[in-house]
Amino acid sequence: MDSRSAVMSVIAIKPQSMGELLNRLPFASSTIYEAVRNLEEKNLLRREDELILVADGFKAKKIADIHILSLSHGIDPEFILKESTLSIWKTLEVERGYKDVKDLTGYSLVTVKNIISRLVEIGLVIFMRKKPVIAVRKDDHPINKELQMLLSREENGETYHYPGTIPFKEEFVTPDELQKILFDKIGEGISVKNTGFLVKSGKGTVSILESTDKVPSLEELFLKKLLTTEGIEDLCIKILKTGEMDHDYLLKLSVEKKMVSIVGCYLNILNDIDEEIISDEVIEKFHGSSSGEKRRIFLKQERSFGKSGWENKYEKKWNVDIYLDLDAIKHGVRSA
Amino acid sequence: MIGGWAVRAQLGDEHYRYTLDVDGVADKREISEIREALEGYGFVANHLEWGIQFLKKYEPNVPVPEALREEVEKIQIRIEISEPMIKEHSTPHFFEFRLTDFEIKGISYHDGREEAMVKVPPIEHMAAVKLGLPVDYKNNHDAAMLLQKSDLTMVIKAILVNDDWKEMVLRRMPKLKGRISQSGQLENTLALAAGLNIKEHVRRLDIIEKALKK
Repeated sequence: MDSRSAVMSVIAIKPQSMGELLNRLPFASSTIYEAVRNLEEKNLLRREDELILVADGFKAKKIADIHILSLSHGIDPEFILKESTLSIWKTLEVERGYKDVKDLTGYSLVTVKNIISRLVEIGLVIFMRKKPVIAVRKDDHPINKELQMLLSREENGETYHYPGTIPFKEEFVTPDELQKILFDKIGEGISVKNTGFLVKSGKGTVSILESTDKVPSLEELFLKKLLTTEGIEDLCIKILKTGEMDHDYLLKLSVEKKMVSIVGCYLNILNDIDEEIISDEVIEKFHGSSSGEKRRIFLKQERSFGKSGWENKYEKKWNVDIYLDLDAIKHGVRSA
Repeated sequence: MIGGWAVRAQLGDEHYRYTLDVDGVADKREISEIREALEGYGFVANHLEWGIQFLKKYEPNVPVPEALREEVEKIQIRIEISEPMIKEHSTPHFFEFRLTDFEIKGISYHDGREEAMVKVPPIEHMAAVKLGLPVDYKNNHDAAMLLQKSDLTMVIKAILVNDDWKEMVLRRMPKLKGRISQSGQLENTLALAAGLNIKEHVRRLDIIEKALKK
């Protein structure tokens, strides 16, 4: 293990003073000073008073975790986190032969063979075939899982920019990406939907993060938002006004989710406010597919505020129990 | 200036929300002069039932990151000017701004070095209007943030001197209180993020409601 990995491993386990590092690590003082300086420059370590600690942020935290995990599996973290190892490791997401990996990474055949053999030895990669060699990553290995999170690309998440202005940023992200954002943006205003977790920034807007297996399509987003007051009164209207929604796909999804009556009813209300938002034809299609659905409350969270008297016509037509704020919807249509 | 920008002018960063559309009110006799001026800046005027809406494509004069360019392309500047009377949809209720009763406030440019000075209604008048408007999350948030900085007696007075605006405010009260207190509701998250003491806010709404019901 080189001096940098040794320093990172010790600090990952417990913050230390420079004096302690110099005393306890088997390297020359100048080598340890150099290793600490290098890790600070890479934002992996930081100093607080006399102590050296793991720096803030997702990358530093994850690299520290990988150091501890590697040691506990009897593996040298220096080898795992070397650029050449990581490049080759990345290509083995699918089954590949030596030549294939050489072409993809640009490393010599000797380097490729050595690194893959070592990865097989430590259990991160398995040979699917020996002659010719075909190797692939062992995805259930805990170190592979950590490396995947470290290297997962940022475009997993999606921020929705609605036309007009929204006073908050809303992101639908995978659990891995969400963890990354939590570490990297903990200094900003962050809220994780459905958990009650909220960190204030002191000023400015808040990012509302929603954990999801996959980024929703525009139609899926519309259906998600239709179960919220801000969706009904603002965001869904803005989505409709983009003109980018596929109404047939929306109907298909609504049938699957047993939401045809609710969606049809909502579109009907909007059409009565401003017929340019949605055509009669689309509403008729929804009406034709709505029979047989169980009567639902639309919206549950507004039920305690009661009804206002305008709902009857829509409730009869769509078999829906309506608790919506028509004034707020009209206001949303005007300002969308 | 009224609406979101006026709230921004009154509260600065403590507003905790951004806005793009500009809403203004003016004397009826001055509206055609404003129209000519804005058309001179390239805005297209649409005459609507409640006033004039001016639209113009946003052309940024600061560098825009490549990743945002497509989104920025879609932005339109929208300025809406009406006479100083806020009417509520399908009701006879209205709130009238007195054009002689204003404060001059600054809105910082994005670089924070300069300010645009604007005329805005007193903070209590703005809170009074917001309390009677439909309770969407933006109005609810604005009302809460304005009310924090307002003299309650003056808010109540502003509601009472305006026709029967109190009917609108009383109608909105259950939702103003309920939505902001409901965990998981967007305005609850926005209020907590802005550091609002929700219990104290609801207590202030109770005081206003009690005074209006007298």
